[in-house]
Parts: sequence; structure tokens; C-alpha cells
Amino acid sequence: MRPALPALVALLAACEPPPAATSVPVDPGDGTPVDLGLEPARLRRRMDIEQLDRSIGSSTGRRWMSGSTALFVSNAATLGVPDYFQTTHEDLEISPLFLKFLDDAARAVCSDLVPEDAAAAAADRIFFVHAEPEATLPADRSSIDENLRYLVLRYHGRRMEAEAPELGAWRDLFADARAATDDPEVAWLTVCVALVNHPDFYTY
Amino acid sequence: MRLSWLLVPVLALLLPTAVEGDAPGCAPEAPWLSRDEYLRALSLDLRGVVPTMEEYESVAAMDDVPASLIDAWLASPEHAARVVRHHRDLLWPNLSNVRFVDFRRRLGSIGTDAACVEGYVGPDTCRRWYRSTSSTTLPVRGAAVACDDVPATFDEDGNVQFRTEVRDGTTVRIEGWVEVRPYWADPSAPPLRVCAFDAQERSVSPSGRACDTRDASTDPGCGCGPNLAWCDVQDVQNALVSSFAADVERRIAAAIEGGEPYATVFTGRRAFVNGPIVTYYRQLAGVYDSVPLTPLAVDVDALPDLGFRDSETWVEIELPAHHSGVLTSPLFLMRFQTLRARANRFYDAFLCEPFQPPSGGLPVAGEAESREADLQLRAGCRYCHAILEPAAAHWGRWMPQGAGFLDPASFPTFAPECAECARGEETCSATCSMAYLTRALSPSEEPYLGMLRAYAFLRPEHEANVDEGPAALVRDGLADGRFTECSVLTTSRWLLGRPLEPDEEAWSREVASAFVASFRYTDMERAIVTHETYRRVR
Repeated sequence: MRPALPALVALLAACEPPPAATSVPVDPGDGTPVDLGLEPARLRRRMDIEQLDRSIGSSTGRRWMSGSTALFVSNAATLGVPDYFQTTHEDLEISPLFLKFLDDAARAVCSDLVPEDAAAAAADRIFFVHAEPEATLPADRSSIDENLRYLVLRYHGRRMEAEAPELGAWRDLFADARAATDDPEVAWLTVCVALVNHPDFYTY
Repeated sequence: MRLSWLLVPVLALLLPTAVEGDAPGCAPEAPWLSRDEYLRALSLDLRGVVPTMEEYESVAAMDDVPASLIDAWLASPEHAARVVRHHRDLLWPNLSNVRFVDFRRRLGSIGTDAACVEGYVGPDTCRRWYRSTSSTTLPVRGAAVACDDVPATFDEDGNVQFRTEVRDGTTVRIEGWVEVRPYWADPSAPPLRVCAFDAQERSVSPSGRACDTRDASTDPGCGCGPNLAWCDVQDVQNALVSSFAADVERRIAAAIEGGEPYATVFTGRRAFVNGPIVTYYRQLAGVYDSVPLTPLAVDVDALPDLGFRDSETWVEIELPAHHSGVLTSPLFLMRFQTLRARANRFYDAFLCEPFQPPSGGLPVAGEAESREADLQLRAGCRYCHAILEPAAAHWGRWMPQGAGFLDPASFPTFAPECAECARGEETCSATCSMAYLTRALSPSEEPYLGMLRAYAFLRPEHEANVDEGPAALVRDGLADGRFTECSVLTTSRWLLGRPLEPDEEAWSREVASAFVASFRYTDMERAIVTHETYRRVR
């Protein structure tokens, strides 16, 4: 088994040239300082695991489960929830491990939510509230924009105006995913995962 | 669909950069929260969940989050649950290292359930339950073995019949099983097959020991009692660990939801019991492992009629007058098992006065000073122990390494018989060894022999602490403001996500004023979350 590995690597290398690094121009912006003020303030902080579990449930209508096991509960110790024996405070660091689990959770709940919501009666929907699942750009831009604004409020607590610049980024994400996959369900799935993975969801 | 799904994480991970990095799409980082962001922060802190769309819409036409909504959230059960959660960080509720029932009374099993099914063909025997430690099996069976997979037989006097065989040169006595419905199991479930020796029901052994006591754990004349009342399995242990923690959480939630003064959590007499707790007090307290709840600090006769399986049925009870809220709860006493550990946790969490050396370290002491037996005087130790020892005395009537109450009527300050046994004139009783000083480690300790342990080196002016209990510490902290100030500090740290800075003293006084006006915890929280400091975020 072991002698076959170098041969396999060599074979793969022969099939396809290694990817070459290419330079991409980056515009870091004009460096305009942001005034955060000097007055005493609350620290923006990450949700604890209980808040995250409940908030994903409230936003998507689904918990992150494996069968009958709630995965934020079964992974609590790994995610820094204290047991008050070995640890006595919850680690709220936005660690790579936290982001990995968050991404797992986002993909799991969104994979259920998007197709189920698309199949639900209009009055029962919590995701496709203002746009149909098969809506496309540019024909349905108005309804897609309205749905994106609804979702950003639902997930992030940000109320965007119809022409808000931030809305463009969400629309572009939807459009890019739609163009890349030619599958409206995947495009909305992308939006759903991005909403949960976004710092505006898991911090406050 | 499957291949395209691979693009999702890539695109999704790009988005935060796109939203925040592109100048046109950049969401301005306003330190001042908008109405909707403020609503979201409030909802997460006060209820532990984001607002619903209906709640966002309810404030859409308003300039700001209405005070009435904040009040409603502060009055909700979800908010009480958040306060309970915050108090876990202060009380460290975990009893998983405490074993409630004598390990020699833990039932294990041998065999499999599959082998009990009629028609089974295979090597296994049907599952039988028995006390599996060698200290219970060896004296009776002669080896660490269970009973045979046959029904037990009894002689005409009702004694269990054993057969004998020689194994590896040792004579082994083996009995059969009897069917028993244990107290922890669903009554509709099939009975367990329990080795007849372990299933004995008599209350007093032929040697005269009460079978429901720890002393009888290895008495061959005692078993687990009717329905296995004096033994346990892991499920019983797990239920007790979670129930004693839930009692304290319910006490805190009840005080918050009832709008009671916060200090009642630490001075009141309310407790909650469920089936496992009542069962423990009624039938298991005498067969404790190493951390006894005896002498019981509750009136067992007044407990509600609950069976072990009533784990979700909670009944509020009023505790006797010597209790000091959660500070004398089984959870707190067993989590912090020494008098000093109890005082240390209280000082750190509720007076914000941790016992720690000064930043420059402690001065180097001479040898004589280092040998001082009284920690209130010993060099290096006295820096903390001059305060810690009198504080610890407030728990002086609560058993160390246990949660029993040493009633003054039964446990006087000085017990002559304990002083006598301490001088080697006779063997000390369990009571003396447990509650009294019976061993002097230095000549200066000898005057305290025969006194309750808490009195060792206790100054006369601190002796009242023992009988006043921990509630007096809370009252002192309220009188001089330390308890109030610490409550403000810990609650602010929770809600602001950071400790208060020295230049925020004026604001902290402002919050404290709102708190002392009613001493309701929620009034303090309201003062914090409605202040501009909370509204500003960075």
C-alpha cells in the first residue's frame, strides 16, 4: 500500500500542472480613520453557545441536530461552555474552532430550511417571505431585494433602506452563487449560510 | 446540486469581507446602536435569544425601544433563566465529583437482557443485579462473584440458601436470584433479577445493625432493603447531581421572577424538592458515601409525598430558621466542602474581595513566625486568614465535607466526651471525630480540644459568627455597601462584557442607587441596559 502512494502522487502530478500563483491587485482603501469615540461603551461580544443555539433556532426555525441529539449541547465542552469543575467561565473567543462549528451548524440548518421553506405554503414561510424560491435577477430584483432586506433584519437586526449600499453585497452574493451553480436553491442556500456565518449574526 | 454545494462555503466565507471591506458596501461601525440593534442586544442579554420579526415590527414605528418592552422582558421566565445562568458563573454548580450513596451499595449487573428472552440460545446468562464490590461479595460468597442464574431458594426461616463449590482451591458460596421492582424504575417495567443476598429486606441484621445505615454496608445480614431502598445505580446518582443543582437554580429564578429583594437568595428559607431529593432525604441519607447530608438540615416529616420518579415535580418548601438561602444549600455546601472554601467563594463572588496576596508579594518571615499554628497570626498566611478565619466561622455549624447541620441542642460548643477522647482516654465517637477538634497538631491547639472545629483559634469577638450563620455575612455586606457594590460590579461585567473602569465610579454609584431603592435585581439590570454606556458598543 505504502509504495503505491508516491506513484499515485506522481500520476496525479502528471495529469494536471500545479496551480500557478497569480497576482491580484488589491485596493486597501483610503485609510480613512473610523471614529469609535472615547466614551465608555459596552464591548461587542460573541453570543454564548446557549444564545447561539436558541438564536439559530429562532431565526431558521430549526436546531442543529443529529437525530435526537442537539449538537450545540453535545459539543458544549469543546465549544468552551464551562462545567464549573474544570472550567468556570465560558470562553467567548471567536476561535477557528468556534467558526468551524458555526459553519457546520449553518450548513446543516440551512440545508433543511431552504428546500423545506420553498415547499411550504406562502403563509407558513420564514425564509422565502418576499421572493419566490425560483426568483432570478434582474427580472425579480425588487422581490429579491425585499427578501434580502427582510433576512438581514431577521438574522442581524439591521434594517436596510431599499437603496442601501450594503444591500448590494448581499445581492451580488446571491447573483454570483446563482451564476456559478445555475441553481436558485443553492443561491439562497449560500445566502442563508452567509447570514449565519456573518459576524453580525453571532456578535452583538 | 452536489457539486455546486461545494461553492457555498467559499462564497459564504467571502461575504463578510465583501460587506465590510468594500467602501460602497461597508456597514458603518456606529458606536451608538440603532433602535433595532439595541433591541437585538437587549433581547440577547435579557432573554438569551434574538428578537422575533413581530418584535422588530412592533418597534418599527417608534423612535426607540419602549420602556414597557424592556420591563416585560425583565419580567419574563426567559430573563430569570439568564440571571440563573449568570449565577452559575458565581456559584460554580457542579456536584459530579460527589458520590451520594456508599460505593459498596452500588448495584452492578452480570449477564445480558437478550439471554432472558425465552428461546435464547447462546453462551450468556440472564442479567442479574448485585452489589459488586469485593467488600460486599467476598465476606458472603468467598469470591468476587455474583449469584447463579436460577431462582433463589430459602429455608423455612426465610434464610437464603447457598450452594457451595470449590474454585481454584477456594470454597465459594453462591445463591440464586429474586425478582424486585426497584424504587427508581418505572413500575410498569419488568422486575429486576437481584441476587438474593443483595435483595434482603430486613431492617436490622442478626448482629443488630440498622440496615439503612452506612455502618451496615458490609454486614452480611443486611441487603438493599425493600425495593432496593438503600442501594443505587448510576441513574440515581445522576438524578441527584442534577436535582440539587436545579433546587438552587429554582430558588434564584423564583426570587427574580417574584421581584423579591436580591439578598433573599442568600438569606431566605425557600427551597425546592423533587422526587429524587425527597427520596434521598427519606431513605438514602443514612447510607451516604463520603459526603453526608446528615444531620439533616430539613424537616423530613414535612417533605411532600414524592416518589423517586417524580423528578419533574418540584415543590417549594420552607426551610428551618438556621438556613441562609443558597449559601447553606446542599449544592453550595457540597461544592465547597471546607468552611474556608465556602467563605472564599462568597468573598470572591459576592463581596468582590478575593483573597490574594498584595502585588508586591508577601514579606519574608522569620522561622518562629512561620511556625505559628494560628493562621491568623502566621507570617504570610495572616494576610488573608485574619479575615478568612472569622468569615469561615459563619459556616461553623454546617458540616465540613458534608452538608449536615450541627444543631446547638445536639452539638454544643464544647463536648466534654470529645475532649476526653482527644486526650487518648477512650476512642472518639463518630460524632466527636466528625464535628469536634479531637487532635491538636501543636500545643497551642490543645485548649480547643473538644470544641466544635470552627472555634479553633477563633477570637471571642468572632464567636457569634458560628451561630449567626452565613446570612450575617450578607447582612454585613448590605450594611456597609460591599454586597451592593459587588452586585453592581458583577452584573455590569456580565452585561457590558468588561469590568468597570476606575473612572466609571460615578456611573456605578448611579446604578447602585437604582438597585438599593428596591434591592430588586431587575432594577439594577434596567439601570445598566438603559444607560448610554450599554447603548454604545465597540
